[in-house]
Amino acid sequence: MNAMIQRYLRSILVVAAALTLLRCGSSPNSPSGAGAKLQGVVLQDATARAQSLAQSAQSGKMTVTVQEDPTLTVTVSGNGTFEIQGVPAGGFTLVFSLNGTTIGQIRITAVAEGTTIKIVVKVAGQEVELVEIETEDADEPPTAGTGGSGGSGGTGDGGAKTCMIEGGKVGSNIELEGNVESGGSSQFRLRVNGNRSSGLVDVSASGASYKCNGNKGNSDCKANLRSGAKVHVRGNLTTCSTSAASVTATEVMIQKD
Amino acid sequence: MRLGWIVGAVLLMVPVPARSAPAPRPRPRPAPPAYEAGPDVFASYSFLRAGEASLHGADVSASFHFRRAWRLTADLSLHSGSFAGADLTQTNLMGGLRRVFRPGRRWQPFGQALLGGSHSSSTFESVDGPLHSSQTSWGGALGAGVDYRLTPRWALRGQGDYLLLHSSTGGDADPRVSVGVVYRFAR
Repeated sequence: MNAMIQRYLRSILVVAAALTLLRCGSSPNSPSGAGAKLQGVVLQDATARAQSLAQSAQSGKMTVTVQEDPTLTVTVSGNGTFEIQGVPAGGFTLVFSLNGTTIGQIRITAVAEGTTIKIVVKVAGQEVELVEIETEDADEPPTAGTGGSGGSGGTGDGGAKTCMIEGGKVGSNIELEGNVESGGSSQFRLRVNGNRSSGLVDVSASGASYKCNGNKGNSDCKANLRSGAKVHVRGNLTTCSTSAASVTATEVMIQKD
Repeated sequence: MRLGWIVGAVLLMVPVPARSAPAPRPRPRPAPPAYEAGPDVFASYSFLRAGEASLHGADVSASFHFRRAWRLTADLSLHSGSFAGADLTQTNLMGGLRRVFRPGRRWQPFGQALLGGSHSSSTFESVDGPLHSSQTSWGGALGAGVDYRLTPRWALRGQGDYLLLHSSTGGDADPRVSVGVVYRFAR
């Protein structure tokens, strides 16, 4: 009888060890497929999280869903990490939900096939803010490194003189200053000061934080973004050619008139 | 064939006792060797898959003879790494019971069940200063491993655990693999 129990225990241990090794080498929670890979970290503000939890009877389970393909949904782990494989090339919107309630969205544009997009997101209360975005081209060794803050994924081209923005490199962080030509707070076209850019730059700012210079209460700051407004954009250059460029902004600072 | 019939007939003629003979009393187990009964300490390199991140670090544990093949175990592991540009660290402190299967042999498998807690933190250095987030989880670990005895005091150990943790953000099941050396003290 004792020997039988020992045999059962050994079998259980062998199965447990096999499962451990299996999980070490893969991430079964990550939907996979063609397209690009997204890796992210959610940093939750402690006080804001407590408020969010107080509003909810359930535990604060956060999920991230690709709006264009809701089957691509993952749960954010305890340390804030998540990974989605097979996000649509071109662009997609990430929907962040806490206990099933949407708390924010981030739009990522100009995503090339096979790239790895790395984002850092801050959740404060009911707001989701994109803090960092970095793109790693599948064909390039991952030497781009980390650091800096920026906008959204890019195609990671070779960086030859094919970009209309002086010094612009796809996938890298960029800061631009200029005037809003058209659009609203989530998407606008920017006329860059001086001769730095030969054309208008498309700015995706749905996940950006807004600051208004000289205006302490920045709750209505976004409303100040209108045609002609002077802005400073900090983000990531996602695409750039000789005729068009797009930036995903992490921060938009609206200057005083 | 004929021999078979004879054996069968003989067996039928053997008187069957009204009550089966009492089973032989199990011999008392020999006392474990001095080094098996004493406490041991384990120091190792450890890999932890925390959420989607691969973290590396150290795992140290100590165990004490409890009864027969059971030992009381305390385990502390620290891991760190980075994911998507953020720096992650995780500290796990757990205690529980370990069952040793072949005490005294050269290869000594074991299984263990631990209870305890885990603290993880994530830091990102943004241009506006560092952003920090931390989380404390409670739960336990189920694991198995094997010791390979080099000398009566020293052994190599490989072990794998599944950390089952629950926090305010939900549950996690994170595997951990550790490889290191064991030192056994005499009782």
